[in-house]
Amino acid sequence: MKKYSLLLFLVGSLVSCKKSFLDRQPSSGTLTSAQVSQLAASSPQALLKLEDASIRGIYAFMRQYATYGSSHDDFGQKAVDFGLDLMTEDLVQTTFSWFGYDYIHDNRNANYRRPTMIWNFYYKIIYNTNLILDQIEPGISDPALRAIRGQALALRAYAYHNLVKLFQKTYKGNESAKGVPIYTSIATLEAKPRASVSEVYTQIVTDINDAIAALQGFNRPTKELIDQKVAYAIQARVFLSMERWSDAETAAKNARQGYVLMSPAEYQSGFNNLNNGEWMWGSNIDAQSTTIYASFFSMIDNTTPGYAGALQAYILISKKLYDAIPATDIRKNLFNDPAKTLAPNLPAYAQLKFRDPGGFTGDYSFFRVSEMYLIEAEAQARQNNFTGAAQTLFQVVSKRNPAYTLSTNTGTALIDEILLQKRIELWGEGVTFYDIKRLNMGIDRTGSNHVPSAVLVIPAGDPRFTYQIPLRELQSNPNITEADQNP
Amino acid sequence: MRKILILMGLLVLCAQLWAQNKTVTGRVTDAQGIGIGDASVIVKGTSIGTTTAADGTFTLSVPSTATTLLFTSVGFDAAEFSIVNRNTVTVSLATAANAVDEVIVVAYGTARRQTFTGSASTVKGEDISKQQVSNITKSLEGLVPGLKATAGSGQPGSGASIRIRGIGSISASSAPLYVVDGVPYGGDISAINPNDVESISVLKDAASAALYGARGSNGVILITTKKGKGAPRFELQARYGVNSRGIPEYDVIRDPAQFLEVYWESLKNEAMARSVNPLSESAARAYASANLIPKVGGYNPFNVAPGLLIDPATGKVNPNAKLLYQDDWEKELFEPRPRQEYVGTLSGSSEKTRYYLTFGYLNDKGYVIKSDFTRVNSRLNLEQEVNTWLRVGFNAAYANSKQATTNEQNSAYQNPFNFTRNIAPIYPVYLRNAQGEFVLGSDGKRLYDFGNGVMGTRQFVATENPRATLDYDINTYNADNLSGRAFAEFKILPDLRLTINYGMDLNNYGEVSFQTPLFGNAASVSGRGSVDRGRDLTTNINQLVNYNKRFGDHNLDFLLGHESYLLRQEFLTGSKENFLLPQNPQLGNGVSIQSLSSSEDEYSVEGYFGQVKYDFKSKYLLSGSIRRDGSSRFAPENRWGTFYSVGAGYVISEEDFMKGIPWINMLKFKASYGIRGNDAFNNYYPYLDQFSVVNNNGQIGLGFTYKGTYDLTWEKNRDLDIGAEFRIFNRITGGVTYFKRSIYDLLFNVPQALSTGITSVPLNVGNMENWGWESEVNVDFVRSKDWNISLGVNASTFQNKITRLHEINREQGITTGNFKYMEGKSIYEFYTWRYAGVDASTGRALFYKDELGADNKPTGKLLTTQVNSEATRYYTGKTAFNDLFGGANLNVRFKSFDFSVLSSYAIGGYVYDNNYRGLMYAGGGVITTWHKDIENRWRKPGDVTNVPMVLDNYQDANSPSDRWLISASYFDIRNISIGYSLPTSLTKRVSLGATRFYVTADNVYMFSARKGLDPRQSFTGTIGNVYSPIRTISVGLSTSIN
Repeated sequence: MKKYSLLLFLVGSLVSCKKSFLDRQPSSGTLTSAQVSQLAASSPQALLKLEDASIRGIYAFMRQYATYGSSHDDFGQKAVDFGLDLMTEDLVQTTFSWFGYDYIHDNRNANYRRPTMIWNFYYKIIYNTNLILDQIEPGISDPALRAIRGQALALRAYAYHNLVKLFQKTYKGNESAKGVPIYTSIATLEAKPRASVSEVYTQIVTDINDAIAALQGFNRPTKELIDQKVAYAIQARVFLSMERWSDAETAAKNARQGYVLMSPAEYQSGFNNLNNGEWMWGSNIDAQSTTIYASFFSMIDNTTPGYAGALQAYILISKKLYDAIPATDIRKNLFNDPAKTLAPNLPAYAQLKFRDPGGFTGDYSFFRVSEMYLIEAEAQARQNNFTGAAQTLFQVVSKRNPAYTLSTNTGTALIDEILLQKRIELWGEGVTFYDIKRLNMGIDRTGSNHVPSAVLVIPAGDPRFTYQIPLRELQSNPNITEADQNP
Repeated sequence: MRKILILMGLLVLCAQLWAQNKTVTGRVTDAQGIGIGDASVIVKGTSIGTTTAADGTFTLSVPSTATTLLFTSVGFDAAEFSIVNRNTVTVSLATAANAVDEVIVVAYGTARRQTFTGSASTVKGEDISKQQVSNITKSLEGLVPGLKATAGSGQPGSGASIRIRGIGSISASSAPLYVVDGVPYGGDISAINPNDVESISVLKDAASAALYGARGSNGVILITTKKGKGAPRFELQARYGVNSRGIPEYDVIRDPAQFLEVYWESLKNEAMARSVNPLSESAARAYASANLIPKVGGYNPFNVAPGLLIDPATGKVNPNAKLLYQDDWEKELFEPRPRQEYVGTLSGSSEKTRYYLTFGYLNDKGYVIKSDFTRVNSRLNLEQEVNTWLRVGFNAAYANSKQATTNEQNSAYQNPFNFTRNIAPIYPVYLRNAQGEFVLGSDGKRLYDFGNGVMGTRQFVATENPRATLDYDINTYNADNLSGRAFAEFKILPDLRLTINYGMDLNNYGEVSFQTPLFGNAASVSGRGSVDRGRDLTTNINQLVNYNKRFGDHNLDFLLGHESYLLRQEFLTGSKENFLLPQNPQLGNGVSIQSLSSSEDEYSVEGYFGQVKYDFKSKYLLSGSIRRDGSSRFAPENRWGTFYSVGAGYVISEEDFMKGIPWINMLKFKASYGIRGNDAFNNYYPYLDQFSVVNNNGQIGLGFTYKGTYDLTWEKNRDLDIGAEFRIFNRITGGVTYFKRSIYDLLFNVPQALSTGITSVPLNVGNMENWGWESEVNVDFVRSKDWNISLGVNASTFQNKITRLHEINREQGITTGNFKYMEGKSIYEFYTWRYAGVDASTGRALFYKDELGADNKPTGKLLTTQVNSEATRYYTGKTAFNDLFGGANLNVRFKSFDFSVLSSYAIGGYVYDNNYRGLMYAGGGVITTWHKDIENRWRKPGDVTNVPMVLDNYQDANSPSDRWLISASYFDIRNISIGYSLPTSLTKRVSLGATRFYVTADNVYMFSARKGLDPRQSFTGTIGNVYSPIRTISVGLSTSIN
């Protein structure tokens, strides 16, 4: 009998586990959508916290290691900038290292890593901004949420602008050419065809205008976040591309309000601190956020033990550009002199502009206010306001070169002077390559200090200035085929 | 006295046990009087017993009340023998009519081989333990038809990957399920001492594995540990040997002069090939001579001035130049090191109790300095019949393992294989002065060269010196594995049993990685260290009801069950920079926090299942099973899947009309069909979108990390298995099986257009098929008093085809690395550029490309191009799958000597030798050495060769193409053992049981298509810089006291 009561008990033990036995959620590390929506619905404060975290997640992504794949030439926005700078004629890389193929203009093909990384990087940013923009409706009254919406719009405009500049020729004259696909919501995963360049710019202009409106009155806690002036700065670049000179002038002027230009001492302090008064937007790098060897300072700083400093893939300024800097200009001190008196252990022309404070914790700059003066000056000159342009130019250059006198140039000569100043001023800051494309220029590396295998002459409009759409996109996007590919 | 000397104090316990027993000795023979080894001898009515030695002899301690011994052996009829008033017996067994009635371990129980309708292979424990592996997964290659194993890493303690019957999935796991003593195993496989393994069953088809429905899709490896049997016995095994490198290095240039001459030519060619201002030949020669040493970073190991080292006219090293130094990096990083292993086991059984208690120690030092594995393990296996209706058992195993690991990341600079393989012979280990003499530090020790500007700037991994950092860098992995199994079996009715199994596996592990602050790449941040702690706990409970009834000639077997499985993973990781003590990796020794994080995850599965087996006179066989499983990986609506199998067999040799054919002992045909499931996806919550918290300078950032698919559900595997098994002439056994696995609703990470912002989305989409043959034959050539010779050979094939892809990928396929997934194509058919040889006039590599017509479509005509990126990629018709693979195993005994060889082989298939590709570069960039095949390079117009010119920074010289595909065929002599067993007459006098001395060697020699190439590195035919296999040669002793 005892045996049978035991049997009953044991058969009972065969019944199922509790219903919740198969419901599992991560306790931390990962959050599921269920946990996120629960948090969002719990209180307005929680929603704000969540949206704030979402926008900050994008800023963190912009300085992250390995945004696509895992190689040391992928550390977000500054990797994009550095690769582009090496494609100009103003930087020299003394031995082959990361970005070595960018330097010899052999890194643009559809199956190569660089276009794939850049494409993925900006579209990941776009996806994440869309995630936010789907959640915060346009007319939101809460000022904090409105500011987050404004930042997302500005980031989206910034991402599309860089994409369309890199994956097609410049706006002017190519308005109807194939640009890049446009996504403004995450509601559907459907892959889109390449929109025309003008359609992409329409989206960019709408976004940045909306961003400026939404960021009205937003006081950012740190310069890692976009505020209204940064939005104006993005707008200035956009109007410059579109050759809407008057709009570009206004945007640049709006953007630079309240900033002060660096003193000579500050100018030579290493370009590594987000708190610098001239920096508009950037990324704060510390011991936790550093990506160590896979970082901008590892690649560019000849004095720190990274790829440039320890593996001696030195980064130099092109001798041609160096020679164009007047002796009285403090910017000449940012590069080792031919006699190597500034840095006896480094090669002549070695860059000393970007110097890491140690441990690869140099901050990243995305926008610096002197660019706004130079955009403004060019826009003024393009509108034949040569006096105004010379005055604007003088405000920047006289800060760098005490001996500089107000330019008396006009017309093309003045514009050329502004563009040369821009190349000197923003050397290594990821701006020059876009200007080469915008101005339909070529590059000529002869007669300088480039390494022999990188002495290239590339004519204006060469396909090498435009990335191919990544193979990875073509393979999974039925709406973009080989026929839509860039030459 | 002699006995006491030998046994020392140890046997006091055993002596006490002896006192209650009497000892029976004897011999079991066949009808011809030839000894039968491995026959089982059991005291009737108890579980006390033993097995016979190879010559048929046995010694058994039996209770004084025992009256009858029962003798059984595979292939023979059972016999009983009275031992009343006798202490010695000689038994002759008659050959069994149905001879293959072996009992094998199968899903949730055991089965008789003859009436089993599924496909299962078994491996005996001794075939595993004779191999000197620290991880069981490395012992199975070549032993099981249809099972393919990678060589894995040679790192002691690491395992091999296993695939049973092809590639089961694309994005989900294709690895089999491991089950230890009836319960799915969640611990580390390396925690199981191969010596504790009684047998391994490999379940391959639906009929055998569908009961594990949830996770049996890729086959099941059932590991059964040893139990006590027979008189008390204390066994001792000791083995000591030496580990050395099993597969030699590729044929690379190790002569500094030869290396410099090749690089000189590369520089000369570059100067002449410049697009802007190329140099003339003579200017280029002068340029190369002048720039050679600066280009290699200033290293000149010769005693002449750098500019004079190579004569511009000849391109040869100055005949007057004398080599000042050359260091051998391989000697500095690799050396023969010892392996030692000791196991002590106490086992035995009495009427109602079986016990097995073991303790093992392994210290396995890999030939890479600082790659060690030390394991201390113990296991207690206890079974007790409590009364007539209750039997309980308990099996607890604990293992502590410590591993010092080698960096094996393929391209990592610290990887010693990557480093030694590729480093140019001009770069020294130790710092030299201008005269080439060692530079000594203040402590009188040689200083190391870090390539960081002191001697020069090494153009390969500057700032690192793996020999120098070896003494200070720390990479360890320590684990405590605790594994418990408990069961209670209730005999409710004579034919009805209920069993409850409980299993718990706990793996507590810690990992330390530390780069010293003294020098190397972390010197700039004063050292870098990370410490991880993890805890994986799995609990598994199943309740089984068995009903077994025989009605006349009908035999019925029912099983009903319920099972729940829960895995809980906890993980904590932290890393810091800026450390004080140079050899202390603990985070307390450092100050700057780099990262700190922890996580917890859970995964659970629950299933209900049932099985019916029926046979009529062991002749007509039927079986069926069904299982319904729920997995926490899927949404509640899509969580449950139903899996089943049906099987049938026909033992034709049992038919009366076959009885007249005496040489056919057994012939069986069988077939099975079923559906199994797979949920082993690389994410625990793939039905949900996922985010992760990121630190944005102290503020919370949220990153979108995973796009889930709510409708996701089980991947399914439709299996067909048709085969035959036979035993003929009482000497030859074997079988042949055809299988086809059709996988559908694949769990597939479908790549998305990157512009959507999503890299891939998990979908149940796509179909794939694997099919092939398996066959094995085992022959007992000689079975006599003095000789035993047997040979087992197996051969298998499998092919694979993707039969359906998601519609967005159908046109273009999915290109990943060297492969492109396309409908109708094999998953691992190489898809790459086609090499068209070398242009004899320019020395440039040529690649094929399609000629395009006016419509931009290929015309079918092939053109060649020197630019790889303009060339076309093609299917090569070559796959990573072998045409045939298997093993051959020979066992020979002559009197007291034994000899055995285990080997494995593969015929056909290709591997993509990326190591060789790197060694055939054209010079420049990161400067590394060359394979000696570079001697065949193009040098001047008109040269006809397959190797392009060397040319600094000329990427297309070794661009990816089918040029790097090479035959994957190999023959590997995996183990050779020679042993001598002391005669029983001698051992008995000193109270010893079977005692054997032996010499054994693992990874003896492998023949492959290229020196240095190990084609077994991966299933995908990809070759990298992994820890190459260890050759171990040991001497050993096993003995027992009883």
